[in-house]
Amino acid sequence: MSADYKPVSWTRSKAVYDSVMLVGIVLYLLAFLWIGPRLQSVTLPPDAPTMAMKAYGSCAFLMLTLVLCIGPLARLDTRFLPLLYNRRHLGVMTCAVAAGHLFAVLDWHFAYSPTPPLAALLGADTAFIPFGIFAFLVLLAMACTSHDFWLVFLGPPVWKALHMAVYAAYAAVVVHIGFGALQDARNPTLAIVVMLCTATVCALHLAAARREHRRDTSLATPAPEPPWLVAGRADDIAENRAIVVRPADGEAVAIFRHQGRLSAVSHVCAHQNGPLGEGRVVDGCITCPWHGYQYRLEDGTSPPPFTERIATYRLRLDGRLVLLDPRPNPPGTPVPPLELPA
Amino acid sequence: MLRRHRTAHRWIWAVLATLLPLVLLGALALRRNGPLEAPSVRLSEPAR
Repeated sequence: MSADYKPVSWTRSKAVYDSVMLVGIVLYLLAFLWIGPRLQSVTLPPDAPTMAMKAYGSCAFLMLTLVLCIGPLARLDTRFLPLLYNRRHLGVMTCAVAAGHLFAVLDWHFAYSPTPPLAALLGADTAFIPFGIFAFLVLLAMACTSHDFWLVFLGPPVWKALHMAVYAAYAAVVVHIGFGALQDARNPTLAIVVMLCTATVCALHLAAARREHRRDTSLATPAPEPPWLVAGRADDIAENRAIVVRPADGEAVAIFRHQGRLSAVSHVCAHQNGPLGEGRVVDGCITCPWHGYQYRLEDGTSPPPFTERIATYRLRLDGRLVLLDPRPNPPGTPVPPLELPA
Repeated sequence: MLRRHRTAHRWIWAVLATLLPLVLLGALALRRNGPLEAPSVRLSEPAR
């Protein structure tokens, strides 16, 4: 079956998200270009192209920092989830602003070179430029493949590996700034901002990683009959919500309660590996908290016209204790929901 | 997130959280001091 390209489905939330982002970018650039020259030394009058370079470059760095903070923030506190829904829009805009920085550089630093500007850029003997070029190429590749069409076309492993290159791009940007703009900056503001941003991104990712590692190592208790595990008490599962059970091997399992019955499915969304167990049942379907993908409780398949499927698991009751068979059924396998006694 | 991705993230950020501050501190240590307008090599004796 071919992967069809469908246009972006605009929703109100996407329009609001993008509008806030665009207004923020424009205000930042205008403020930088208006305030920046007033902070410069009178012996070094600023020139407009240099200010444009700094404005676009600093804006792109701050946007990339924000993009990288959203993931761990959403994992640490679900109140940040709305920022995650359209994070790819923010990523594409970051690439566009970075392109503005690149064009400002080409238009000024290399405009008067006897060689073509692009050739002059690539042949420059300054060490920090290749890092900037690498970071921009990564952002460009990510922006071009941000649509779900590419997720299907490239396959999840390749797409995920490509988009995890954003971490290498961030490191390259930090080197680019450190050995570029920071070398000539007399004002300590730039150094302070870069160090704060880098420290924040690192600290958030480490905090999220530490929390997930603690969760991963708090494993489910084996039941008397292997391979069954004790998932928990049925009364502890709220209506239309789930508990998450972590077997020693394999992925975590989410056990949902809906209309007095329990269903166990993979905790990992088939779309972009979102945490299904943190979602809820809406209109009779499990709904992923990240992007709203849905799955039927009885067989883990998405309602038509969607074709995503997740693994299902068997459950049984031992008194009020819920027991889980951690061996996953193939994705889309029907498993009758477990009836809870009144 | 898949378990193997969580493990990869943990390792990646352990490395970056160590390297990036070192890169920034190294960049700051390598900065030139003194006025930018002064030439690195004196071309002639200053006028008396």
